[in-house]
Amino acid sequence: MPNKFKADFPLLSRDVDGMPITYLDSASTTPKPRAVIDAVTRYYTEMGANVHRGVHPLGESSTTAYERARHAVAALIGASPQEIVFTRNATESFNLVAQGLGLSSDDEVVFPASEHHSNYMPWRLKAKTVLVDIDDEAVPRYQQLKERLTPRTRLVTLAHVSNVTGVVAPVEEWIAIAHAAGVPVMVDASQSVSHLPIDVRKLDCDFLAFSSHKIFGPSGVGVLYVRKDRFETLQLWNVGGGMVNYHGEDRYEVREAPFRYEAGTPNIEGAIGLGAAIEYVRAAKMDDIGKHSRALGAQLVEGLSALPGARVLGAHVPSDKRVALCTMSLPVPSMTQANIARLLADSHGILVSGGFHCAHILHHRIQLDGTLRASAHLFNDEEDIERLIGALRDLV
Amino acid sequence: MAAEVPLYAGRTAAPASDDPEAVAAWLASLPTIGKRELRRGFPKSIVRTTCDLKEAMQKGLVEIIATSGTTENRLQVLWEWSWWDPQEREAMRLNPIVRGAMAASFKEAVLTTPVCGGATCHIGTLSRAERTIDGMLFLNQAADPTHWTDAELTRMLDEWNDLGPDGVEADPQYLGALCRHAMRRGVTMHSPTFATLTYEQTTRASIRAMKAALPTMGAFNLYGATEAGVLFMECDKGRLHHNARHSHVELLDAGGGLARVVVTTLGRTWMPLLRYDIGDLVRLADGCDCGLPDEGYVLSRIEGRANDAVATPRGLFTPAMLDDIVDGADSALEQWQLQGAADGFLLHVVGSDGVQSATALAAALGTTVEPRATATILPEASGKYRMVRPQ
Ligand SMILES: Cc1ncc(COP(=O)(O)O)c(C=O)c1O
Ligand SMILES: [Zn+2]
Repeated sequence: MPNKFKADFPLLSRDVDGMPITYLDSASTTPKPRAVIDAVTRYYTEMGANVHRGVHPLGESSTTAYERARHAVAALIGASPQEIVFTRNATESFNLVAQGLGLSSDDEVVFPASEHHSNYMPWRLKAKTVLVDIDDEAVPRYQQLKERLTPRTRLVTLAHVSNVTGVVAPVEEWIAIAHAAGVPVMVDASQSVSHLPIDVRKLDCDFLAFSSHKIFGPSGVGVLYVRKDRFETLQLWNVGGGMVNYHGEDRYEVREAPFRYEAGTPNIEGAIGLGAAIEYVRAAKMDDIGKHSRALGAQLVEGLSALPGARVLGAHVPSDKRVALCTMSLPVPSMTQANIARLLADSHGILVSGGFHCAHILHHRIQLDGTLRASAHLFNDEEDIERLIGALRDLV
Repeated sequence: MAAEVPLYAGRTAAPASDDPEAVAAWLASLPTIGKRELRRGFPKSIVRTTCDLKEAMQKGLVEIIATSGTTENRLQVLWEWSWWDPQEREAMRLNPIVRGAMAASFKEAVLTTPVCGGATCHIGTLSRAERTIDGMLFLNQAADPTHWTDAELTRMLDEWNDLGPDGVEADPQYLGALCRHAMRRGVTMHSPTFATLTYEQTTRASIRAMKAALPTMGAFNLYGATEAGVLFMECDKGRLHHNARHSHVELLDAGGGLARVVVTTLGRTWMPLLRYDIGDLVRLADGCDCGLPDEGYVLSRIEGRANDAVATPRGLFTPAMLDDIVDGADSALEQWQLQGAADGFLLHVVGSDGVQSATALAAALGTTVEPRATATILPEASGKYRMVRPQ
């Protein structure tokens, strides 16, 4: 049976050099369904106005559509709209927290050595980083957390799903441990939000970040969830228009959260597109997406592990603890992993990532000079994965 | 009047006699107007050529205020205190419980959309003294009640209890939310004698929250519109009586026991309305035994905005009828909103998973209805909730 979602994505019907594409790079960014493209276009053709300042009807519809997107985000992750700050991307969400917490150079931030640069550099710049080690397959040694916490720990942060291994982290356990020590926790949901149902109340995390473009929405919009009571600990960072209630020469009064963290004209059309993307995944049912993702993940691990000489990261992790994302290194004489990725694209139309995936430290630690990452999503099917495995088998 | 107001130019003049039948026949011969007509050419088109609006505004007799918010509902209105206040008070007095409470020492609080919509007038947070106008305490300061923080809710509760109002004018959805907050926090609320519910459709869930937090308070719908005045007041038997001295109302049959409300204002200097279709559906009652004089129409209930009614092969479902189905299936829910979808509807529900309500609604409408649990529902730009919205 053909995949019923594929036709929703105009991009997937294009070809390269006359070959149909097999898109296996959703961990990098997801293609956009027609509903999202239409929502963005509708903003341009029917609203077009700025938000929060509108007195004319177009301003009111822009504002309502923009705020509706905030509600959609909140509903998706079980938060309240007051807790949703729109940023430019996940990276900016981390920077906001790093700056907002007012960290100093001897404050400690604890996270796995496998984190994406986006959940690494902001802490490195502002504070002292304390790493949880990873094993030979790049999976964090999660049990180390307790021993890494000190009285100087200001934050624990980790990827819910690793963008390199596709492994789901035991975030609930980490949160319980960190909270028992009085330390807040930030979750990087960039790779999980489109694959797994997330409920921030159940998780009980303090901050959570993701990017719209990885959940079928437009680029240039990110989300920062801040648990209501945590706003008190977040200083202002970007300031300007749209975030003050009153501004006189004598004093100023800032708007309530989340607006006080959203100075300047936001990416209105992007947020509206994100709202449509969320509606799209909810209609597809998160639970079903999750099941499909786990099945394709298992197929990837199994198929890739069977290739001669392949070193698949996190292969020992059971399939119910991973998503449809698999990274490996394949020994092909005189070819880097990036070369292999190019070759897959050019001679097979198969699109995957090759390189370091913004995780240099991870690669240093496991002594790999780059890896090959295939990531599937709801519009992919078993044949896509078989095509990849077949092409790689030919190569080795 | 028709000849003096540009909007009504060309309408035939009123009959010379006051004979109700002659008046009714004359009105029926005229076209109705809607919000679109009121917007166009405002304010000149709606001011008598014999009146000097500029002077009246300079003297503070009239001001221009904006009402409502969705694109098709927005309106600016010439607001005339000297007309509004007496007709509102008179409408309220139709209800004996309200009348009894409105003594000289009467304390009143208001919980509706804010005095100022923050983002547009930039006045910042107002002190309680600044929010007390003519003895009435305006509690809310947020344009969007879904952004009420716990601290804000607690401040409103504290002010409510400190003032100890005898009467409250409230948006039912806002008061419902405040009551739920009080219940969750275990805070006992001072019970006013009455609340007049106005601004938008009262939902069963709002009433349920009020009954839980304020069991002895009488909650009565006060139905009207900023542009048209207060038209009906709910009595202690739950029926709505026409505020007949200030408006002439026609109920145009809309089928299925429903009617559209068409208003002609009486005794209004500024912005007189002649056959204005307010855009709502109501249901007529066969009288009421509460003892009020039989001056005009008696309604059994307000059914909601005609634009928000759902037309199906099985008939028209008004917002109130939808509320009966949705809320009737699940008494845990706090708020809901129905959204059109490519095939059928999405039912956004706060306070419950929405499964029972969606099932009941699907059965009633004969279409698919998918439940969507959510923490909050976004009000329109005006701060009012819409019960049914397009895709
Ligand atoms: C786990 C993880 N965190 C953070 C990011 C950063 O996302 P963005 O570049 O959209 O800010 C990514 C994107 O690759 C990611 O995979
Ligand atoms: Zn009565």
